[in-house]
Amino acid sequence: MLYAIFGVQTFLQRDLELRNLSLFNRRKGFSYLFQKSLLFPFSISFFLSQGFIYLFLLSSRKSSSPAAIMSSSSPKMITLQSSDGETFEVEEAVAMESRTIKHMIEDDCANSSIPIPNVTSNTLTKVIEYCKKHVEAKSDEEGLKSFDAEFMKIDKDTLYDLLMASNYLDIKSLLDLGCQTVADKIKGKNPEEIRKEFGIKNDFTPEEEEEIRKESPWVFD
Amino acid sequence: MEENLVQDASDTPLQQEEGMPHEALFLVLSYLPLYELLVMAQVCRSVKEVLTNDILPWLNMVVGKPLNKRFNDVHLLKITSKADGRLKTLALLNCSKITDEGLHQVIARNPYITRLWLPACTSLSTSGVIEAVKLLTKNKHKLKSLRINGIYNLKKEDLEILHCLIDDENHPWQKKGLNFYHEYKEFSTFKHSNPPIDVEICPKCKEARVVFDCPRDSCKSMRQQQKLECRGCQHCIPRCEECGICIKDEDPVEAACVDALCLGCWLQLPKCSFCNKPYCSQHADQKCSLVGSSGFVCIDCHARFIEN
Repeated sequence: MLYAIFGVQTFLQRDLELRNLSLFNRRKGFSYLFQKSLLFPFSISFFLSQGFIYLFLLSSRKSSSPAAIMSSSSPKMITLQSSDGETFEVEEAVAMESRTIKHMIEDDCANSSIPIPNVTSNTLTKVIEYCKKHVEAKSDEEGLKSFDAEFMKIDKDTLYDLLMASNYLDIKSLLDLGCQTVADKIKGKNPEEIRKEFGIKNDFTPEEEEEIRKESPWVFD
Repeated sequence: MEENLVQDASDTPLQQEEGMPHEALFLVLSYLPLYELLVMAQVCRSVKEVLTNDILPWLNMVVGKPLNKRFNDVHLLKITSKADGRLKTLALLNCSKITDEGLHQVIARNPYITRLWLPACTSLSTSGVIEAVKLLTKNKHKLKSLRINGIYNLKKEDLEILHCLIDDENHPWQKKGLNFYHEYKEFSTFKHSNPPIDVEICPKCKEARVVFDCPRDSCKSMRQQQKLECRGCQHCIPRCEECGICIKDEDPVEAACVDALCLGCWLQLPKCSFCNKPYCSQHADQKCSLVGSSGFVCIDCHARFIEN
């Protein structure tokens, strides 16, 4: 019985060593002494407790707790695949800026590359650039502000694609930034100017237009 | 209009139909203030349909210029009814016709408001505001942001009552950023590091006012050495409209819009061709263009010299 437990012990220890956890080594020294004086009921309870500890460490490793990360040497990389097949490798922290990807990682669907079907590689490059900067310079508020201002100096089509991508990937700060930029373009314009700015066709008849204005006379004088 | 159509036929990207607004524009609708929303309703049928049937654009209600002067309780109730009780933000900027009853009615129908901004709504009383906050914070609902700068007769005791109602003992708010004068004026619904209540007790005059920090380098170093000298309301410490630094007695310079500017900003801004006074960026739309030159004329000089 004792030798069986010892055998299981070494198996568990080797398994976890492979996963690079130093926590178990301390356990090993303690349990070796304990084994010398084990009686049958103690051995069973001890085996069970080891099992629970093993499961606990596995689950904490899965959810990437700080203790687990501290002992791994390099940051975990996530692979993203755009709609046109190009792959991008990013650090996990950068990918987690997107709540959609964050949920996928937490639900453990992120072992191979994550496909992002409605985002092209150009747009995905821009998104990753934004997320990287916001992760790296998190505390530098002024630097981020100037980065954001520069980042928004893009043509309309890229801006639309960025908005759709940040909506799909659920990156709130990028969505807010992009929408605010477009909102600023809309402010202070009348309907005709807005149509011109965004290339929209007027599909109202003049009577319908008049009716809309009459609906809220306090707005349009 | 017709030329646009001909061009669109060849240049339109695959997703966007000719002359139709891009899908991304519908995402932007939730970020527009009320006036812009009503203007967008006139742009095309698809936008009007979304605004009539969808509830999302109506959940963040921001009423500012040019509607604020005419916006009364009846309009408020009508517009907020579109949110179907799920209104999240109510921002009435300088809406002097809104009364306590109107505000309470809206809050009674929309108990999940998390941001209540009422700057300069001068028909509201302090007891009305306190009642409104009480209505919102009963049943453990959390009001995240309250702006009341400009409400008349705000006293220290009222502020204390409001703090009791709003502050969360479990998650005490940590001051993340500094409050700068030139940034406070920019209305941005989505700045996240705002304090829960914008009004504090000014360390200099002890009144309930909005207190600003100073971005001037010498004041920054004083702050780091824990000497909080340059922190006060705008009545105690005059500040530059453009950059927010404290204006010391040596260089008060006036702009054409009667705002105060520091010497550095005064030198950089373009000036009126007649009286040599600049406009601050906020009032830059008041410039009158001068025929035959690239400069501009301020409104006063325009009235005095050109219209005669």
